[in-house]
Amino acid sequence: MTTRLQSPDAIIDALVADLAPVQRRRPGLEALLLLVLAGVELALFIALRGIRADMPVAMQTPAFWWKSGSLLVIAAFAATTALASLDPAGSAQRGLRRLWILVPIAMAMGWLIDAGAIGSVAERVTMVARLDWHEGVICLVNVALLSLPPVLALGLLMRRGASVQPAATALAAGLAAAAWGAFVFAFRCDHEDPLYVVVWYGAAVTLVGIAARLLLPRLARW
Amino acid sequence: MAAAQRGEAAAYRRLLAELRPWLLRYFSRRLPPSCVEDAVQDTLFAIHAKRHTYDPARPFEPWLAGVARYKWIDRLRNLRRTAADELPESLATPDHEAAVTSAVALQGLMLALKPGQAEAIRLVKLDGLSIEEAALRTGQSVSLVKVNIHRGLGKLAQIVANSAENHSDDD
Repeated sequence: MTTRLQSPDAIIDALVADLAPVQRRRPGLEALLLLVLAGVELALFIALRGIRADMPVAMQTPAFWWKSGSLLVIAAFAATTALASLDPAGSAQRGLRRLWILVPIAMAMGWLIDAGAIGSVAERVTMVARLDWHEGVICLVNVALLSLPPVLALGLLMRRGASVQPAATALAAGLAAAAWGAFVFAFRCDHEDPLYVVVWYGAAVTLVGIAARLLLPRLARW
Repeated sequence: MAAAQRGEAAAYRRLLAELRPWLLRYFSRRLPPSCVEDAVQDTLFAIHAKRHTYDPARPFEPWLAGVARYKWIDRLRNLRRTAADELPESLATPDHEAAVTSAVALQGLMLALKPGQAEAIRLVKLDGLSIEEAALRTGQSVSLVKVNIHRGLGKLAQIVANSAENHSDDD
């Protein structure tokens, strides 16, 4: 920032002259807008791409509930963290620290489900087959694309807000958007294997999180 | 502030006039004297631009402290980018009293730096010595002084940013 050669009084005069009534930031309204956008995205996705054919069967497996439940909790938690940090008196770091506890717990639950399932699987397939990288990459791209609407919305809210920890806010926003994208895609994706989910969904969420962490603070400088 | 959000100019002028000395005090404890005025101006502009984010149902002090701290980190990073630039001649007079009382909070944080970095920053940025004088005084080479200032200021910005949730520190 360049040095301004204005007297203090001139600056105060200029700011007072520029004063106009402002619409106060309303966190509740922001949360509501995000919820509506998320709902519309989910509805559109289901309308256009449909639900996986084996949904009734899948709904009886713990792995399905683990996958969707974890993603929903992570998305809600990260979005709340991001929104709460848009006030200069708020903080995103505390929420992020809790998220770092939440994610390993979700992964550990997946591991337990996996360990429980292996006994019942007749043939033990190889790691490579379980990961199914061809499908995995498609999953990753889909999740990343589905995270775009929420990450853009969060970016706009961040621009209007005033985060004093832009990096942490941006990361929380990216993780929230990606977890939501993954939650939406899970209605279509018939992969339930916890290993597959952790690797491919995890990769997608990580990539979107990093991208948001790098890009959003530039858009929301103040 | 609530009145300012409604667009009441007189109340806003009173608020800004009261904020200025508070900010001057805040930044003179935390920044080299040469950039205190800039930091105060930046913060007044930021308060103006983000006045809609204040919720009158909550205390004003933490909101203000958050904005001021954000601008403090901003300044430290800015200072780092111009690490090797010397101060303008007029500011380069070491003033004994100012050197003792200024930037006390910053000097406290500098204890966390390597001694070589802290010394280079103190001599050039706070006492107003030239890079060459600082090199002579410390026995560091000219380029090492620059590197030490650059790295030290980066570290300082990081320390402040990482402790950003302790809004209620000294004042």
